[in-house]
Amino acid sequence: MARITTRQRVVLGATATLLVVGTGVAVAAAESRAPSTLPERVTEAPKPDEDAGEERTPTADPPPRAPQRATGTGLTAAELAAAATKARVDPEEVKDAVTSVDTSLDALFAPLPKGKKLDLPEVVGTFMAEEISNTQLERQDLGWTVEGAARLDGLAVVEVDDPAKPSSMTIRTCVDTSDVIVRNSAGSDMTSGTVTRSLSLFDLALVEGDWKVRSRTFAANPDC
Amino acid sequence: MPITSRLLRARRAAVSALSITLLGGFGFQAASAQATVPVTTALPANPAAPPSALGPIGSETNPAASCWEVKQDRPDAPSGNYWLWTPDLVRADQFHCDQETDGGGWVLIGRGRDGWSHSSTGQGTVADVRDVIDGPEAFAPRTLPVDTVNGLLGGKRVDEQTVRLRRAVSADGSKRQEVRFRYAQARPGWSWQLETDLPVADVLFDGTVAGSGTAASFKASGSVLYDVHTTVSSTSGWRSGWGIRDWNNGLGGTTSSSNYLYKNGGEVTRPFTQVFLRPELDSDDFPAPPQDGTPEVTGPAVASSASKWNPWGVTGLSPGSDTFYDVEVQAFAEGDGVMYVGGNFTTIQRSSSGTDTVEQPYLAAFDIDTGEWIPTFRPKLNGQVRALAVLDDNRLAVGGTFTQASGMEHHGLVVLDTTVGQVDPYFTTTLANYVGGQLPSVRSMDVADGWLYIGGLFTHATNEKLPDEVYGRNLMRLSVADLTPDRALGVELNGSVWSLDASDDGERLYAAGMFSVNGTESAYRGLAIDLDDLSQVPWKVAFSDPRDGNTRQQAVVAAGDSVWITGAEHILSTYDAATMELRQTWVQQAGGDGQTLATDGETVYAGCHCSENTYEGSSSYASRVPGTVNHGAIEQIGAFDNAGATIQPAFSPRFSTRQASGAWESLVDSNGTLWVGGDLTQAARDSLTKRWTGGFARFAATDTTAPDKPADLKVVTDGASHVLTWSGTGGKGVTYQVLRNGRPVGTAPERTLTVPATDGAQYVVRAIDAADNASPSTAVESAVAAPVLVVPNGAQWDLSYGHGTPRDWPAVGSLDTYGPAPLGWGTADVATEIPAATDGTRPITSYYARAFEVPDPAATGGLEVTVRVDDGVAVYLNGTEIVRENLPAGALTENTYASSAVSSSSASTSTVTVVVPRDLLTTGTNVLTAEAHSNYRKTASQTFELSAALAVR
Repeated sequence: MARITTRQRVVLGATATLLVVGTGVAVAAAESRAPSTLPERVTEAPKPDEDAGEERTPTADPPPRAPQRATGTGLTAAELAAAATKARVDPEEVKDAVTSVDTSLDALFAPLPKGKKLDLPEVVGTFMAEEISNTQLERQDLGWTVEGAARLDGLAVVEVDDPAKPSSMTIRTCVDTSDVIVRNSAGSDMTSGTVTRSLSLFDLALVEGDWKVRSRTFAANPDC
Repeated sequence: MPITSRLLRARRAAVSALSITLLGGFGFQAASAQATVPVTTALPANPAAPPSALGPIGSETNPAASCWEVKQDRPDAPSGNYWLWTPDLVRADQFHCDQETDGGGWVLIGRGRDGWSHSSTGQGTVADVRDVIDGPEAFAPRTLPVDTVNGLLGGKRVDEQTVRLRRAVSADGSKRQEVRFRYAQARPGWSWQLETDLPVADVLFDGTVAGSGTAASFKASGSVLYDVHTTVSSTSGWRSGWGIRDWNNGLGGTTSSSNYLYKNGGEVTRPFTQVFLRPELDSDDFPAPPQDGTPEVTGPAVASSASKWNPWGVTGLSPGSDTFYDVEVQAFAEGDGVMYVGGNFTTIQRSSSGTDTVEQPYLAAFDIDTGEWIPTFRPKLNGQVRALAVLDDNRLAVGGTFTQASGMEHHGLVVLDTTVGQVDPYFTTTLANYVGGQLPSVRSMDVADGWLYIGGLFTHATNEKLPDEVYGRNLMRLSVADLTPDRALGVELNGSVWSLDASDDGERLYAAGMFSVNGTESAYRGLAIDLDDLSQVPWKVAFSDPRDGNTRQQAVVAAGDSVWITGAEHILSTYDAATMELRQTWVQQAGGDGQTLATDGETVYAGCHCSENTYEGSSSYASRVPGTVNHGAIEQIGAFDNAGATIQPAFSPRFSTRQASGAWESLVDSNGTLWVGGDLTQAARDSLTKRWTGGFARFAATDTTAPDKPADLKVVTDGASHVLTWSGTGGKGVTYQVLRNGRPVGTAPERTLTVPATDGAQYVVRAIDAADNASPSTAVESAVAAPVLVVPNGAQWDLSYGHGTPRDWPAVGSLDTYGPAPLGWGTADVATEIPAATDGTRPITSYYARAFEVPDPAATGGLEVTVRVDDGVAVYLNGTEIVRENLPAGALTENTYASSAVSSSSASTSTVTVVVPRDLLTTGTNVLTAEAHSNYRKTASQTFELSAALAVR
C-alpha cells in the first residue's frame, strides 16, 4: 500500500490571517539545515504563556462521540496563523508541522485489524513511530479496535531553532481524544471516563522538506 | 596413682568418642547361668564367603547396575524382574528386563497404548511398569519417572542410547514390530515429550529397514507400518502415543478396550507399545566410596508436580472482557499469612459444580497455609485486578483496570485495608493517562526500599500533597508511606509495561513490556534501572523472531545475580545482572508466549500458554532445532535452575485450562509453596489424575532436606555374617541403606543389619527418607572380630548380704549364695530378690562375685565392663578397684551409704561403662567382685547388674 502523505490527508483553512503577537516563544539558535542526529528531546516545556494566543478557540457545541474518522486537525486558520505569527515563523511551515502532528495522531488512532500490516506515514519520525508502533501492534495483538480520531485544540509554537528558516520546532497543542473510542476484543468501550484532553508537546524536525514528528510528550500541567 | 585413674572411664554419652565396642544386638547368646563360663574364641569360625554369598547378581542383596550386567554375568538369566541400582538411583528397585530380544539386557521404562503423558513424573508406579507389561491390562500407559530413567542410565546421555520400541501391529496383539532409533540431539536426559522437532538417527524397523525423520515423525519406505508418528493433533484425537499413520484404517484399530490398536477417527493408530533402553552399565564402573563416606544426595529444590488440594477456587469472567487475556487469576500478593488473589473472576466456590458459591469479583483473600477463603475481606471493585502488593500489615495496593473501589472513583490504582477490603481513607493518589483513548491501568507492582513501583499504562500521578501532577510514563514509583509519586525516577517509556520487579538487594529495577524507548534511550521491550543513581543500564533483550514487531515481553524477574524475561514470540531468556550479557534462551512450543515469572532465588518458574516442548539453547521460534542443547516438556509452567540456567525437569505439573490461555501469574510464598494463576480448571493430584482447581493451583516445595547422617558404624563378624550396627536419629519414613563396596546390600528401618560375610567388604551406611534424599554416609568401615562376651547381662552371680563385709573382700572367689542378675530389690526386672528383714529393713550393702576365663589376655583389647549404678556401686577385677560410682572416697564398709539416691524407675538405665586395660587380666580364671550400696536404709531399690566383654585388640 502506498504511503499517504500529510498533504494529501489534511485540509487546513487556506485563508488564515497570520498575526504576529507575543514574545513568549523560545527560539533556539538558528541552524541552516536539519540536524543529522536527533537533538535533545523536550520532555517538559514551560507552562503556556497566558497571552501567547494559543488558547483554543471556543466552539459552539462539543462534537458528538462519533465513530467515523475525523478528517481535520480541529484547528482554525486563525489559530494557526496566530501561532505562526507569535513565533515569527512562516505560517506555511506551521501549517505543515501541524499537519504532520495531526497525521501522526491519525496513525496512532487508526484502525489496525488483525492481519493488517502497520504502515506508518512518512511524517512520523523515529520516536513517534516507535510509540505508534508499540501502541498499534499491542492493540492489534489484543484484538482491540479503535474508532474516531483526535482533534487539536489550541496551538503554540513553543520552540523553534530559526524562525526565519526553521528546521526544528516544538508545538504545544491540546489533543482532544473525546471522539476516539477504543474497544477491547469483546467490544467493551475502554475509554469511558478517561482523560480526553491533554496539553501535549510535539517535537518536529524538517527532513527533506517534510516536517517529521519526532516525539510527543506533555506540558508540565497537561490539563487543557 | 589410684588404679581407677588408669581406667578409660566413660559415661554413656562419651561411649562413641572412646570407640568402645557396643555389645547389644550382636546375636550372641547369654552365657549359661554358671559362675564360671568358658570363653568362646574371638577368631572367626569360618573363612569369609565370596561375594556371591550376597545372592545372584540382580537380587535385592546384590543389585546389578543394569539388565545388561545381569545378562553378562548370567547368560541364562530369563526375562523378568531384577534389582538394579546405580549411584544416580539412590535406592535399588526392581525393573523388568527383557533378556531374550537381540542379546537381552533391555530394561522396560514404559508401556501402554494411547494417552501417554509427557510429565516427568511418569505415569503410575515403578511396580506398575514392571509387573504388568503386556496385554489389555497394560494398555493404560505406565511410565517410569524421568529421574528413574536417568538413574538407570547411570550418567550416560540419552542421545547416546538406542531406544527400542516393541509395538503391536495387529488388533489381537499377536504380531509385534521392533523399532530402534536414537535421539540425535539435545537429550542429555530422558523426556516423555515424544513429539519434538529434534532429529532422530539410526532408525531401523524390524532390524533391517532404515528410516529417518524427527522425533515427531520418522519413517521408512516399504510399509505403512514403518512409521512412528508422535504428533498430537486433531488427527490423533489429541492422544499421545507411538502412532502409525493409517489413513485407510487398514490395521483395524478401534477404541475397544481389548484392541491392541487404538484408533478414534483421524489418521493415526496408536499401537500398544513397550519402550526399552539398554544402558551397558557394569557395577565395577562405579567408584568405591571415599574413606570419609558418600556425600549427601538431595533432589532439586523445585515445587512438587502434584498440586495441593484447594478448598476454594475462583471462577467466572466479568462480562465484556477478553476471554484469553483477561483470565480468572492475574495477581498474587502475600502478607501476614494471607494470599491475596486478584484477577477477572466473578465468584469463589468450593467445587467445579459451584458448591458454596459466593459473589466476590476481582479480589479475594485465602489462608496461605490451608487455602481457606477469608470471608471478612470483601473488597468492592468494578474491574479487573492485575497487580497486588502488600504495603504493610494493614494496607494492600491494588492495580488493574477498574475505575471504582468501595463505590468511589479510583482509576487503576487503589490502596485497601487488609481487614475488610475497604479503601484506605488516607489514600488520595490518582493516576491519569494523557495519551488518550485508554484508561490508566496498572499491570505490575513491587515494593522495595520504601517505594511502591507501578507499571502499566499511564502518564501522570498526583495526590493531595502535591501541587501538580508528576510525569512518569508507564512506570513510576510512589512512597509506600503515603503513596506520593516520586519525580526523581524519571522513567518515560513509550509503550505499556506488563511486568516489573525490583531485585531483592534493592540495586535494580527491571521492567518488561511493549515499549522500545525510555526517554531517548533504547529500551526495547526490557528496561533495567540502577536504583542507586536511577540511571538506565543498557540491556539488549534477545528475541525469537526479530522480524516481528510484536515482541512484547510480558514478565520479568530478578533472581540472585541474574534477571529473567519472557514474552512473545515464545521466548524465555536470562541475563547476567552484572554485565547484562545473555546467559541462555529457551523457546517454548506449542503455544509458548511467556506470561509470568517467579523465583525463590534458586529456581525460576516460567509460565506461558504452552503445553509441550521447551528447547534450551534455541533462540528462534521459526527454527527451533539449531542451537538446542537440551530439551524438556513444559505445560503452562516450568522450572529452571537459576545458577545453571538449565531446565529443571523434576517440576512437571499437568493442568486443564478453560481456554489454554495458561499461567499468567505465579509466586513462591513464604512456605516455599508455588502459587500458579491463570485460566486453570484442573491440576494434577498425582501422576495419573487431576482434580478441580479454580483459577489457581498450589504446589508445595519438595522435601530437599536430607535426613541426619548415621554414626557409630560398627561391623563385626562371627565368620559367617557381618553384623552392622549404627546410631541415627531416624525420622518419619527414614530407612538406612547399607552399601558394600559402594553397592547396596540391603536396607533396614532399624539400626542394624546382618549380611553374609564376604572378603574385602567395606561398608558405609546412609539414611534415606521418603523423598529419596540421602544423608552423607558414615565413613568406610571394615569388619572386625566381635568382642567376646564373658559375663552377659542376666548372668548368675555369687551373692552375700547381711553378714558384714565378706572375708578377704574384695579379693574373693565365691560368696554365700547365688542367683541370676539383676539382683536386689525394688525394680521390676529383679531376677534374684534380696528379701526384707522382719522389721522391713534391707541391707545397706550387698556383695557379688563371678569368675570368668581368659585364655590369653595379650590377645585382647582389655575388658569392657558395664555396671548398673543403684544407688552406688564399686567393682573390682581380681581385687583391684575398677569402678566407684556414687560412693564416697575412702574405705567402704557394709554401712557406707551411697552419695545420692537413684530412683527405681531409672535404675535400669543408670549405668557406667569402663574399659579395663588388659594388664589387669590374668591368664586363666579372673574374678569380678562388686558391692552395691543404698543411699538410705529404706531406699526403694538397690539392684545390681553387670556385663563384661573382652574387647577386640
